[in-house]
Amino acid sequence: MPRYLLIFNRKRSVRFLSHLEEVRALERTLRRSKIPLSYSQGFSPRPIMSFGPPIPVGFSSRVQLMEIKLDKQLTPEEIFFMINPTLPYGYNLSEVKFLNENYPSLGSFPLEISYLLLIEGNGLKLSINSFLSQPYYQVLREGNRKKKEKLFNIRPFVLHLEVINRAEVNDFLKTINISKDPYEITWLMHNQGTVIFFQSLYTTEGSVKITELEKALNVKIIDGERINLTRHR
Amino acid sequence: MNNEGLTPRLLNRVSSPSRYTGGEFNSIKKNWETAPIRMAMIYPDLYEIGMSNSGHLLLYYLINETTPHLIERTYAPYFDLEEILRKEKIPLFSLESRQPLNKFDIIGFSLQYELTFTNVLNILDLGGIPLLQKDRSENDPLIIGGGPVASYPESMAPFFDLFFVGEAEEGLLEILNKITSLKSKQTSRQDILLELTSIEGVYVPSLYEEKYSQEGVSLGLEPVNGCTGIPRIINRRIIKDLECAYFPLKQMVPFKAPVHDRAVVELFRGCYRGCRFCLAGYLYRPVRFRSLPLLQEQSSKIIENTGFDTLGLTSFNSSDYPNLKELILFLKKSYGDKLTLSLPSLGMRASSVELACISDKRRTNLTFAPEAASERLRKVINKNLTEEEIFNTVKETAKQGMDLLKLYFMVGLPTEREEDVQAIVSLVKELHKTANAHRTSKRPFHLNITVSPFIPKPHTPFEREKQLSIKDCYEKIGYLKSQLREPLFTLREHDPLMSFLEGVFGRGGRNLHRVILSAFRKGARFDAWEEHLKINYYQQAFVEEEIDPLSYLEEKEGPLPWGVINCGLSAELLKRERDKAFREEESDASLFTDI
Repeated sequence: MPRYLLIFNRKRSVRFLSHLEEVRALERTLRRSKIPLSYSQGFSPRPIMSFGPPIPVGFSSRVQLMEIKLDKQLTPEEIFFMINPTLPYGYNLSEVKFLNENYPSLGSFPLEISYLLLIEGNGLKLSINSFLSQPYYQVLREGNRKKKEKLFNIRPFVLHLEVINRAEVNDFLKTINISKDPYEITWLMHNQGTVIFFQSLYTTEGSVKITELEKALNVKIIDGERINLTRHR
Repeated sequence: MNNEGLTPRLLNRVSSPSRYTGGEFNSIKKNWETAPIRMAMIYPDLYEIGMSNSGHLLLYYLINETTPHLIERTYAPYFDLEEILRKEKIPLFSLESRQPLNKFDIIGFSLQYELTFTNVLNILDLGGIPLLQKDRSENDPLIIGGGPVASYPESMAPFFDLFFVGEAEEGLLEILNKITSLKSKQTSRQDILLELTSIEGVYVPSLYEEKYSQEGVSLGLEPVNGCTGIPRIINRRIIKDLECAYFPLKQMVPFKAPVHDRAVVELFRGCYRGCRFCLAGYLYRPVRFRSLPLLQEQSSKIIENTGFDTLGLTSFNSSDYPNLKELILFLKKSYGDKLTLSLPSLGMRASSVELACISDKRRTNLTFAPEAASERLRKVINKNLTEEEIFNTVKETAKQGMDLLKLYFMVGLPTEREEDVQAIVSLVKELHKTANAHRTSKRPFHLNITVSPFIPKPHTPFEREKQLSIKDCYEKIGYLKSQLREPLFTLREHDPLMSFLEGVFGRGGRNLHRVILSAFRKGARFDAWEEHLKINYYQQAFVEEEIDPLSYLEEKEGPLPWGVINCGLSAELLKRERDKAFREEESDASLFTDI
């Protein structure tokens, strides 16, 4: 069965959706688009799809990933033009890739996720440097029915943290090969605060949550955008 | 003002921002500037509750799709958003254009029941609109109430400019068009209200007052002195032909999951039954159907347009739809297991079980409402349900592999005796034995029982009956709880405190608006939510306003507060049905004739 990777961006009001709400919204989008989705077998057939790493409520993104299987081979262009018009306002499909049969499935390999964060206040360089200089930073993760409460070292999952001068955000984005987005950049201009470039590692063994970083740095994140997502090598 | 700029700043601080973002697929954002009339449609509860009510969404689509006017939605803000709005003095806004409520020409409230009244006041207050009708000026929006409560609205009357009684599809269009032409002639607010009374179904409460005889006995509501051209009685409206009526095919696809997360088709309107306690059974007569081919076509289009994987086949007692099986088989043939069908209201009979099973083969539970456990009491309420049928239904449920049955009963029904309450215990225990004897599921059969106190509803044969006191409700429910225990049974109750408020405000007159206002001022919100209901606010309000709430639970004599509204059935018919109830005789409700 042919597999495809879909890359969406989410802007404006849909940035306030939770991961679960996004999954439901995109599943319904695919049903509306009438692409020949493959369904799971059995008692309650579901479309075969998997999603990239969840994003915090309130964050916009240029790289929301979704993998689907179809019953029939279509070109990426055909898929693009079937899905894009049925997306809710605020979502756009930016890319559709055909995946080779032996390409590993989404979630089976580590990812590097890049964010721009807008943080309340100034003078964060010290706390960032002190965080980065330590090999360990333990956070307490709450347990639930299945898991016990435990201490978890988040430091290995923080790959990069850097304060970006507000005037140089566009230049910085160019150096990492990302073009600016005219709408999303406006929040930088309209809001006070410090801009941080943050790169996290997302693996099957674990990852760092944005709220954990917020606590570790003792800051308040006002806004955020996921700007890039690549395979970690 | 950059309205969208408000969004992130506000929404990053509330617990569930997708309640307030709007922008759902199939929502409609019209040009604010060019619309002749701008109306806000409000369901006065949380978004996820409101989104499950198809009535107000039907009107939203009707006006937005078929007229130049504009309708936008608002729901009750949760406590966290209310706090931010009040602290920062931001008026409550609509979801589509994020316009403050006081910028609209009309605000329409969907009034489903009494426990949303304080939310109505909160929404008006947060929207920057004076709460009392008499305090509003020319530039304030007209406040309209619709939904079932508009047929007995007296306790809320002083807050509303007008009510629309009955099904609003045609009437709302007439109201909007009339206001458009009157506004172009610079007509005053008062004259607009007066003019609107010529539209059938419109009730302008400020034009009516209670009149008394020379002996000081109430004669009920009549037009205020000098107001001669307005109707003495307001007839509720219904639409005659459902087959030709508008129905939205591009339905809202919410981001935040509503209680009922599904697309809907409406099989028919009205109810075949005439259960003597039920308002809906009397308010929307006669029964009007949509044809099978029309429903097939509508269903297919709605599924295509929304991408939902569940379709609700809605109506009161949807198993009364003559072609229900054909419709279910058609949809199953077209969509297979990729579509789940939901039948939210099924009559208690063995054939319903079969239909429920074909419509969703994963189903493991069913819900029915026998309401009364003794044969005698079921005759009193005109349930038209025999014990044999109850047992057959339960047998069939167990045979079909289900392991959970939910049953609804009432306590405090007219003529109820001790043995009728005891009969709930014996019936439920017998049903449990029967179910386990016939079960095909591996798991033991479980019964969920919900007990609700009877609330006498206006416009029904029981509109004058007595309602149980809170203490008596707790006593009867307590007895049932002691008899029907876990692990075999789970017994839940509709909160007697809520039933009490529903009964008082449902049958109360205009003076009760002071109690609602006072409770709201003290902080009452979301009264239908057990965790939020603060009964002490109401208790204090009753004391301060010197109103004895218990008197509203008594049997009612004389003119009724809703006497000014005619729901299509004569007082004689209701009286005859009441007499038959006391003689323990059933009626065939399909023979009721309209006046």
